[in-house]
Amino acid sequence: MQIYGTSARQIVFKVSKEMVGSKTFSSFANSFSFLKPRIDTAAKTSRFLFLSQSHKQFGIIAGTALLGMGLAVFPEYSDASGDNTGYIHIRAILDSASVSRATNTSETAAHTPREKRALDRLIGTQWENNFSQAITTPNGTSFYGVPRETEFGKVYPLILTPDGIAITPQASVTTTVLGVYKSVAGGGSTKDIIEGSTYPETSDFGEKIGGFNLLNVNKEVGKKSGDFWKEFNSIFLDEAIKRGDVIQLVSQQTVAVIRRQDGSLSGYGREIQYMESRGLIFHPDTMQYTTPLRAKSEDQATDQQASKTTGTAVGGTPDIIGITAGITAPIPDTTMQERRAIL
Amino acid sequence: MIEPYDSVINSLLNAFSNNGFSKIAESDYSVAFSNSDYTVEIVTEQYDHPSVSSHILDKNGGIYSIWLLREILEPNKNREDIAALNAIKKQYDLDQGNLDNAARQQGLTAYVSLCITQLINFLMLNNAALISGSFKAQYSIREEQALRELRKS
Repeated sequence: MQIYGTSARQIVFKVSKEMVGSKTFSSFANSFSFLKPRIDTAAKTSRFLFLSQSHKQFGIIAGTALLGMGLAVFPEYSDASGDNTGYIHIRAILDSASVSRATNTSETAAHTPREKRALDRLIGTQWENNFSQAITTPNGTSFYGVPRETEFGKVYPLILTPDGIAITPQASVTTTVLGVYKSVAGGGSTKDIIEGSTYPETSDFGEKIGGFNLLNVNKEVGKKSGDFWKEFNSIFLDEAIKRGDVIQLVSQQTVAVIRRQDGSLSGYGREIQYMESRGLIFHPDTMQYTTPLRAKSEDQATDQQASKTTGTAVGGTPDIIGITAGITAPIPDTTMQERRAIL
Repeated sequence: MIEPYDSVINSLLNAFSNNGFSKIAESDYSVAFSNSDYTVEIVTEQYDHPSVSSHILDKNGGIYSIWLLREILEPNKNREDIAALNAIKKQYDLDQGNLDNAARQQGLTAYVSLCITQLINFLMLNNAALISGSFKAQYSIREEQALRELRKS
């Protein structure tokens, strides 16, 4: 497989018929067409992923890998060549504005820094090598250790931090994410998660079942605050604790990130201290804090989770299973300001 | 970096280069300088200011907080320096943010300037120890202790 071209809005892989199984490319493309309206709707608010059962090796590989990088994806197809080759366009939805379809493979819109970073993370990386290897070896049994057959239909949105921490929103709760804002020595940071997941600037710290909850208040609002900790940060944490969120750390706990040069606690250090002082329990293996109540019921929850299907079968086409990982979206600060103005 | 960090650090570029450091990376919230032996990274935060976190990265991937290094290598001087920084915070009411914006910016600039100057002085006086890594055993013990204290507090 080769990367055929890139643009600001899409990454184009050239894939031969043999790589995707016995179907022709046009039937491969057609099999997805009925889902397009759903995609257009879902893309406005949610991350989503759909897979073709006939080509599950591709779906799992592409979906898992790209979602694993914090990017929402959808494949779209063209078969303009009329032969048995085609192009699979995997578009990274980097922000809501990029949802509009880019069908021209020669699109040359300038990369924004965010888009460029996302593309740089893909192109020429080990991930791309793994992707290439996996897609050209359809008889392989696993990709990133995920057995294809057993895991089909159970692809979770994942974000892999540079420290190798895999984070994913849990289906039945809000997952609050904490860490240093700017990466220290290349480690995990909330800035990367915010940019990778296109999380909006928001003062909405409310429940987001199945989704992430991050502290990303509008910069101007944050600047004007006389005491950011009191006015925003502690409220953000209080609400998460009160709900019993899973609190996922994306940065390691080291002195370099919790203490400033003057010895005072950094924002992240203060957050850790706050959670410890409220009796939350830290799980080093998952880098999560949980409330004591949740920790006790974790075994039960794990059992229930194991039997749950996260996706929802859609459409009337029997060889397709679509999975939408619908995530409750936070309300951007701009919208909240408009609401306040109306009130 | 965001202001006033950018202006302050740029005004001290000569001091870095005179000590063998050159700028190797910069973003909105961080800047990194390196000599041939290690890298110094200076990081600030999104909302809460003043905030200067600094650490060195050695060739083996070790990350060492400047605050803790100073506690180990020059504890008395570190305490004096922190007191001087706190005096600026108090003078300009930086923790409460009650002053007008211009006065606050002046205070932030004074604070960041002193903080970075203290960092440069520390690097200059302790370069040999930082290169040799003689602090590492002690650092490991003190880091564990600091993390335990944070969780107890």
